[in-house]
Parts: sequence; C-alpha cells; structure tokens
Amino acid sequence: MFELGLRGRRALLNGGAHGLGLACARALAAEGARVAVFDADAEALRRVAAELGALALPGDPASREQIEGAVAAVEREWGGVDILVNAAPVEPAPAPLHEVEDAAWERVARDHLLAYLRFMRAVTPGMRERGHGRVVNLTGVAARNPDPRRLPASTAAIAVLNLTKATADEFAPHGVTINAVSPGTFREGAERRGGGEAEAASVAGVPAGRAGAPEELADLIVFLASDRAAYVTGASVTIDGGRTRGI
Amino acid sequence: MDLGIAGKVAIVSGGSRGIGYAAAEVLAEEGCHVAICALDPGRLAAPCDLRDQEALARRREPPRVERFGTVHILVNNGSPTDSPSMWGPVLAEVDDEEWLETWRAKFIGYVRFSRAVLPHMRGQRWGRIVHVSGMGGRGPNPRYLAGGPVHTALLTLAKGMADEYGPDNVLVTALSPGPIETGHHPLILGVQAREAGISAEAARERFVAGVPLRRYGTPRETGEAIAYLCSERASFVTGVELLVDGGRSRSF
Repeated sequence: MFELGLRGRRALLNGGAHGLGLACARALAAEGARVAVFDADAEALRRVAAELGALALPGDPASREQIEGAVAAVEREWGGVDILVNAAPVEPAPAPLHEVEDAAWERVARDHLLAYLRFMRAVTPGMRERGHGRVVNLTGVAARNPDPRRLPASTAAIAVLNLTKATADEFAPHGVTINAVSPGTFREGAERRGGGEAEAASVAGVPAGRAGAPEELADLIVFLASDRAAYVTGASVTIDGGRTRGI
Repeated sequence: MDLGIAGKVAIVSGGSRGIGYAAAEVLAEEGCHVAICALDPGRLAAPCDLRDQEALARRREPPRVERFGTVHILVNNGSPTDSPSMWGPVLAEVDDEEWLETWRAKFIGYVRFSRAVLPHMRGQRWGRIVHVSGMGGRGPNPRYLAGGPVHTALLTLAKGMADEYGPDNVLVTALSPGPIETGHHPLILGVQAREAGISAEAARERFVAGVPLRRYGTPRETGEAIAYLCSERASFVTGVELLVDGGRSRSF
C-alpha cells in the first residue's frame, strides 16, 4: 500500500470550485485531508462544501485583503495550512497578440500571478515554522509550448514556473517543497476549446490519443502534496499524454 | 559583414544608456534611422516612461512613424531592474505594487510596443523584434521574484509571437544579457556582498570566477549581438533566445 500520509493534513485550494481544481479538492479529501477552498464563485463553492465537507472561502483573487483573510480564516479554524494548491489560472479569450487589449494582460498579472504569489506568501511562514509544507502551482502546458493565440496565458504559465523554482530554493531547507504542474489537453477544457472538430484536432496531437481525465491530474498533484514527494522541489511536471515536443 | 539594414527604421526603447544605447549606436552605424525612447529627459528629445499608461496609450502609434513613414526594427529594452529594491526581497518581503509595476513596465511595456509596430511590419512583410530579457529568465532566483518571472515570460512571448507573425516575415527573438558592465550590476553585487559579508570587490571577483570568460561583457558587444538579430543576416532566425553571458548560464 502506497501510503501518502495525507490523513488529517490541512489543504487550501486557490480555485477549487470547478474543473481541475475541483478534481484536486476531491482527491485530497479522498485521501483524508481536510480541504478548504477559496473561489470567486460562491454558488459553486457551496456545492463543493456540501459534497466534501470543505471549508468554503468565497473571495476575489484580485484582492490582497481577501486572500490574506482566507488564509487567516483557515489558520484560525485548523491552526495552519499544510498544503497549498494554487489552481486558478486566468484564461482571456483567444486572440493574436495584436488584438489583445491591455485589460487582459493586467488581469492575468494581478488575478493569476500576483494571486499565486500572495497565497504563497501568506502560507509559507507557518509552513517554515512547522518544518513541513507543500505548495503545488497549477499552470498550463503552454508555458513551454506557447500558443500564439493564447499568449497572456502562455506567458503567465512560464512565469509561474520561474516563481516556483525561485521560491523553492528559499524554502527547501525548511521542509517546504514548491512544485508546478503543467497540464496539457484535458477533458475539462473541451468546452473552452470549442468541442467537435476543434476538440478532435487538439487531441490528434497527443501521443496518448486522448484528452486527460481531471482525476489523472489530481493524482499527480496529490502525490506532490504527499509525504512520498519530500525530495521533489522546484520541479515543473508536465502531464500531457506525451504531447510536448521539447525535451 | 554587411548587415543589410541600411535605410531601415529602428526603434530602441531604453535607448539612452547601457545596452539600449549601444544597440542604437550599432544600428545607426549600420545606416538605420534610429528613434530612441527612454526615461531620462536630460538624455533625450522625447522621454517616455514605459510605466506611464496614459502616455503609452497616446503612443500606440510609435513616435517616429510620422517622420520616417514606417518601422522595420524594434528593440524592446525597458529595464525597471535598475530599481535598487528589485534585487533582494524574498517572498515575505515582496511589495505588491512594485511587483505589479515591474510586470507592467517591462512585460506589458514590451507587449504594447510590439502591438504598435506590428501593423507596419506585417504590411511591408519585413520586421525584426528583439525582446531584451535577462539572466533571471533561465536562472530563477529567490531574491529576484519580480524580475525573474518577467524575463522568463519574455522568452515564451518571443516564441509565441514568432509562430504568429513568421508567415508575415516578422522575426521575433529574445536576447538575454548576462553579466554586462551597466548601471545596475553593482546593485546586484551589493546585495551579494551584504549577504556573504564580503566587500563589493570580493563579491565581484567571486562573480567573475563563475563566468567561463572570466570577465564582464560590455554593452557594446551586447548591442552588436542585438544588431545581428535585427539584420538581414539573421533572416532564418526566429523564436529563439540568444544568451550573451560569457558562458555563465547553466541552461543549454
């Protein structure tokens, strides 16, 4: 039996009411972790809280106060955060660079990148003090495979990898690991990709011949959050059915 | 070697000193018409702050298009990394506003300049855009949490833009200068000296020992590499990063 050691661990998800983040929340709960979810969608959050017995933290990722307030609330409730999963990338509508307005670039910088940084900044002092912590930053496979029609998301994704590696160095001596996961084509994104022929085309380039299941991504994140992954830090793990062409 | 760019119109941002000035100088020597944009009004006829969003909105049309009719070459070389507080803060000390300003000034500033020149370059089916990035791009550093992600993002920006605009013969590359003798390197050395409890001179020696060429680079040799990427001699080079770092980077 592969014991992950997650029973009773306190996990906080930035973005866990939908899609890949939700799959992750479910997987952590299934391993016996206590789960708190921060999300802007209060309605979906109520459903998740009911399903998983999760602590619901409705909030705006653009707000420093609300992010820090959410972390403080978990610390009040449970005494600390052992696991942070940042799972809230921002995806502006696809367009070539010359048609992307400033607002889209600004939103990605503040609501995605700075939000990840703020969550990390808020949870890491406690993790360092206790000598244990896990941070997993969810980003996109476009980090290393830039999509010319999704440059705000692609450039943010690689920026997350940089932040992950840089902060991992600082916390590695204190038992706190910080990793990134870059998912490729997942069933969860089919609707966004337009479905039908567009979906068939996006899956055609995947050696595995199919889109990934959200649960497969969640399994990877749960492993990185576990005691079994104590020597994995500063890594960015691609999960894409073999699609990435670079080595 | 004739770079084949005499008569081309070039814009160099951050062009009043350091690497930007050197690039502007080399391009001018090669016969380009060069417009430079920079912060310091004392060094320039048309000062421009990449952080000033209103001013940039007014400049969506590049400043010298009226005079020269078009733009062929854009060297994006903003460098908010000059700020003394850029080097040093670890995660707990990051100032949110400064972090966002860095992202806006360098990354979004490059995006805006690119957006402004692309119609000209695509229309004439000839363009070169060089995003000057930096060491933090491939060498993440816990004390460079504002600059590093920007540098990395610029590499992905160059690759993605190269894909999108390659069919229009607009070539987009990134150039990452390593340890170059410019205004901001002493700031980095200062932090390292304080950390290690050694003198700035000792920090400098230690730093240089990690550079295979055992010396700092000059702005001039960086400007020459930029000019090559902008030239007709680099007509099949796009979507790549050129490191000008004396061999220091561990990335290959």
